[in-house]
Amino acid sequence: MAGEMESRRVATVLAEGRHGDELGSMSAEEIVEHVRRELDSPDSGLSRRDLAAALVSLGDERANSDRPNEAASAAKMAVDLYRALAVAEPEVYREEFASALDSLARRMAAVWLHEPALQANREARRVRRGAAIEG
Amino acid sequence: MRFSYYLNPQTPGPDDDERVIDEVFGQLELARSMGFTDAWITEHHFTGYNVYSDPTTMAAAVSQRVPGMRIGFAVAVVALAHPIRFVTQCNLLDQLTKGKLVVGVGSGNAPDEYDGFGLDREERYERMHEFLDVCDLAWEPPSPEGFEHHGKYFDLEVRGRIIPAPIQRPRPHVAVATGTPERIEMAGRRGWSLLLGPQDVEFIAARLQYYFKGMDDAGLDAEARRRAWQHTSLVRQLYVAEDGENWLEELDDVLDTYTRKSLRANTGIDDLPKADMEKRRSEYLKHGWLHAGTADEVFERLRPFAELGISNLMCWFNFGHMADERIRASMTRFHERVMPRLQEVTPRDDLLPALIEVNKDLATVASIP
Repeated sequence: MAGEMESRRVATVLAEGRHGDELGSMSAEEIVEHVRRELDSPDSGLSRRDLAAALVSLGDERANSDRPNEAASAAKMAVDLYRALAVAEPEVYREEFASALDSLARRMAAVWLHEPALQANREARRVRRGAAIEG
Repeated sequence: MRFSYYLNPQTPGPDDDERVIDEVFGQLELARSMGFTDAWITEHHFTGYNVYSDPTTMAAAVSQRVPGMRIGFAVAVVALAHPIRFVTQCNLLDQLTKGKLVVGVGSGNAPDEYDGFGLDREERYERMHEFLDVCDLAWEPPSPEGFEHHGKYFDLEVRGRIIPAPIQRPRPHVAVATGTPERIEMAGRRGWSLLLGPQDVEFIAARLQYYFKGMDDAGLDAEARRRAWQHTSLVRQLYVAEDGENWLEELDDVLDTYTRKSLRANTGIDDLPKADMEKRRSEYLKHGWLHAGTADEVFERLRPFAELGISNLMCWFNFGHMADERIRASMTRFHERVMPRLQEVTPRDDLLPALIEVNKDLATVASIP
């Protein structure tokens, strides 16, 4: 129960955009794990869109703090969340999904992981051109 | 260890192409005078990551400009080519080099290249393997009358033979650039040489472990192993600084240019936010191609590869729009203060097992968890 409460607290703080102040001591991997747990919970009322946007922002912050592995973890989960949203409502989430893919591509390129970087970059371009979004 | 001149100069733009090509030939002549034995040529299109783009035409020019040097491709992007044309060109190059051509092949990576040639990048491995099947037929046809191939990407019938024949019979030696364990083992099984990229030494060790396993599995004889190992090559960007030179400051623009050009060529991404670009640059300095510093520092970075017994070091001096004069000075310092020391290094049998101990998972490339 304590674990669930902690996951809800972390996810809520993140969704409200307060991660810089209150979650600074946690690694992005830990935050991602809490978010995953919270979203698996049957009574989670948190907005996936808010969480996805917050994860993109978390990725940016960790990249700026020279924590590339954490930045990549946050960017990957943001892509996962936006992908699910964009599959269900492509016209609503197309641009946000493409932007999340751009962020992931940048994070990978920063550490010379070229193949995942270009895959994300190409998918972003396809999505912007209006291609069907693959789940 | 022998030393090769690796040609992959970037170009600032169309008005600079002629100058850069001329400078490269001058550097190559200097390299030969210093005892470099090979010229290794690559293939990159469209982004300015490489000034000459076409490896076979460049190789023909090199063969006439610096006769006697071995010429290798590292690599020709064969998925962009036609196999009959390619075998014909390679055979002619083998004649022009008097049997000193090494045909290094790879599938390529750059998204812009596949788009530019109108090919599906996702099919590149399949296409390359069919390409190599056709090359096998062309170099060792089942009949003197000709051969045919009917596949997914190539459907052809050759009546006659590929002319000229190569000097190396039945075919020029093949090398391959690949990073996956399965394909590295395949290279070992087939007696191909392995082209090694910018990875840290423990990843190179893992690649060699897979490579030797492939050779063992295939029961390669001593001569086939010797030939494959002779051309197994490592490429490194090198800059040997002058005594007291603050090379990091002096090369600031060069490092920035290379970091950006390699980004575009390899990922299709034009630019990165400042923090990501700074990270990319610091990773490049820590783990990438570049070995720069004093002669002692460059030697120490290269020493483990000499101790592993790597027989061919492809030295990449011209990168990031570095000025010709600076390149020549760096080459001269390398020749005088690094080459002789590397040639004196005795390979260590215990080093490969020690590196594998560090890299127990036999990872062939770094990854983000």
